[in-house]
Amino acid sequence: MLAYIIRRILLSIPVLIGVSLITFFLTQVGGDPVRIMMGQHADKDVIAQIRHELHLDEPLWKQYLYFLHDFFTGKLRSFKTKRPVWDHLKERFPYTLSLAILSIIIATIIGVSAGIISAVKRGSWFDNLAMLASMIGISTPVYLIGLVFILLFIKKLGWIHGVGVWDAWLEVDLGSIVVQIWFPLCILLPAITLGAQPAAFIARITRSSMLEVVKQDYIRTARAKGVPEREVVLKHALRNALIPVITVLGLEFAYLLGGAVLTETVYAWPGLGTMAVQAFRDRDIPMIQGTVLFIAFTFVFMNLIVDVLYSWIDPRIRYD
Amino acid sequence: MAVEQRTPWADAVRRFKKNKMAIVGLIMVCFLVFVALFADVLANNKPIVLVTENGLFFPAVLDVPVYIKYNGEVYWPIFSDKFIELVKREKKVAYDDVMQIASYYGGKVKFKLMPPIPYSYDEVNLDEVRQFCSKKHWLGTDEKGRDILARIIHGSRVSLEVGVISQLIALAIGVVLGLVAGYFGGWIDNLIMRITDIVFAFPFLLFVMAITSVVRPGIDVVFIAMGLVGWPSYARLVRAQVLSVKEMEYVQAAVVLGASTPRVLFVHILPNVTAPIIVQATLGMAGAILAEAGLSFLGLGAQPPTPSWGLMIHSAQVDIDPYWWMSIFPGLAIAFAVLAFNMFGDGLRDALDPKM
Repeated sequence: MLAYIIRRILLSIPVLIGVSLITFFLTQVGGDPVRIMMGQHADKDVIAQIRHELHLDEPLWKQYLYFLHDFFTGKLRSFKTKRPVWDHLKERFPYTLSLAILSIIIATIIGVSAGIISAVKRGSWFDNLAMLASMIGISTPVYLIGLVFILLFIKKLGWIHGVGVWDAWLEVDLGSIVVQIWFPLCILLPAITLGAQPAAFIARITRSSMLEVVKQDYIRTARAKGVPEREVVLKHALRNALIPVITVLGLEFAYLLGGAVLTETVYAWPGLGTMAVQAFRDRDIPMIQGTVLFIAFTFVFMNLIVDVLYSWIDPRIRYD
Repeated sequence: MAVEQRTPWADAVRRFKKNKMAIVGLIMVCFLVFVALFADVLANNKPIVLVTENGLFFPAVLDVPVYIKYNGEVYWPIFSDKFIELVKREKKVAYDDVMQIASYYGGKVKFKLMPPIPYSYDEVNLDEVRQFCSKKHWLGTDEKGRDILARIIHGSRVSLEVGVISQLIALAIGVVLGLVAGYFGGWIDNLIMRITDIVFAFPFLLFVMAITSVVRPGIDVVFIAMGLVGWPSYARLVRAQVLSVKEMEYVQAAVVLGASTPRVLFVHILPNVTAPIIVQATLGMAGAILAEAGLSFLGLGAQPPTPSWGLMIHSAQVDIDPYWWMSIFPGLAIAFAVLAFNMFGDGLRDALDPKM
């Protein structure tokens, strides 16, 4: 097991190097970053000074090493805010993390239960409806769901008082007393919106995985022994059916951690996604580099964890 | 007596026909293609057919008259440039203005057939901004008074173009690299597969965003960026298929008979991996359409006045209350297109690969 983990970590090193190389060279494609930032009519001396500060007068391979060094030591600074990119990342990551966790919980509950019921009642109206709904869920752009929610719950019904992040204290009027409960209501709509697509996906995977498992001999054995159907489904079948579901869950979670760019933008959620979009709009090269590198590294790291978890859950699988 | 043919493709068609969801998907895809192909005739402020005393015009689709009487002579501008040359010389105008002049000389209108939606996608009308659905504008108008339905109809072109071109680029790169990796193995295989790992390490949308924002936002950059980022899934797919096919006897036989490597790859191996590629390309279309709309929604994809569905929502979302139709209708169009390709692709997969 340990050997596998070590091997897996070693395998991801070239990927990480490649990722950093692509991130670095990508920002070279657009031409001189200082020109991009300052426009065509900037002062020559200022440009020369900035070029020197950013090591742009050095050869490319040195620039790349400087970039890595600056990134990991926190010296990489945003063109726009002049603050280290790391500070921004640290500020934004908790928002993305909490949103990702809540949406994956919502997606798992809805997806797994819908998938099980669909598989057990294969061909029923529920199955057809759930599969149609999941198809629509996968195909609908998140910002359409987001805009409909905003229109309905914020603008028309007024249940939720706005987008973005706001005071987490909720006042509940119990007649004689008013109780204040800590609940970040503002995360609810973004989390449901973001969870819709993974939910649809998980429902499909759970269903097909369950259908695969119930064909197995040990399920027939369990039934033949007279195990109650409920127990067959929930204990014998589900446990095995969940193995591929967990992989998908892990990957979806890794994906959500990368900043749900579109959902965050619709809800003005101050996570990594909106940070990335802002950096792209400003053409703030160090911010783009830092954000993209951070997100890609997170993604690679999460994939590593998923792989290790997978081989731990299902010892039959070893990638060698 | 005729014997029923049972080729694998015929079997696939049979399975596909039984799948209701797939058939609905196919119909939706055909509808989209139809709308995209005939967008100019479905929604246009120029008439489809215009017959005047002096000529015959198809203004919606043709820049020049079919025939026209000019100074007592009859010209056939679609067959010869004589008339265009004449007008250019006499009036000293550019080619684009010839049509205007031609219609000016057209004389009294005898017959005129307008498109069902008599608005073009870029026709600004500041007297009719942000109007709700009416008999005049079926899906309302946007912040510049442009007809939303006309924009949605022309937007189908943008979406399909993005889908087809980006998938073709991805397909071309992915198939070649996948074939090479799978067939030769060794360090080439290792290298190519590590590159796919690296590209997969970036979230798709983020990677494309990074490219378009650094190069220049615009629909053409989106095509290419999505192709460049999208190839690894094809490469992996093709490689896996090649690995399972290349040890088969018929391939070995071709090699022994002296077929060249490219011939073995493209003539003997590639046809056997087409089924999964078709499925991947169909589902990839759905992904590409969704991604383009997302990018344009962020303002980092198509630029005005391109009638991209995502861009329409981008400029309309600030007006969501109370002018919701300006963003919801284009959103539904995106969902429809993506749903169409997902349903069709899913059906294809079930039909072509009964094991899955």
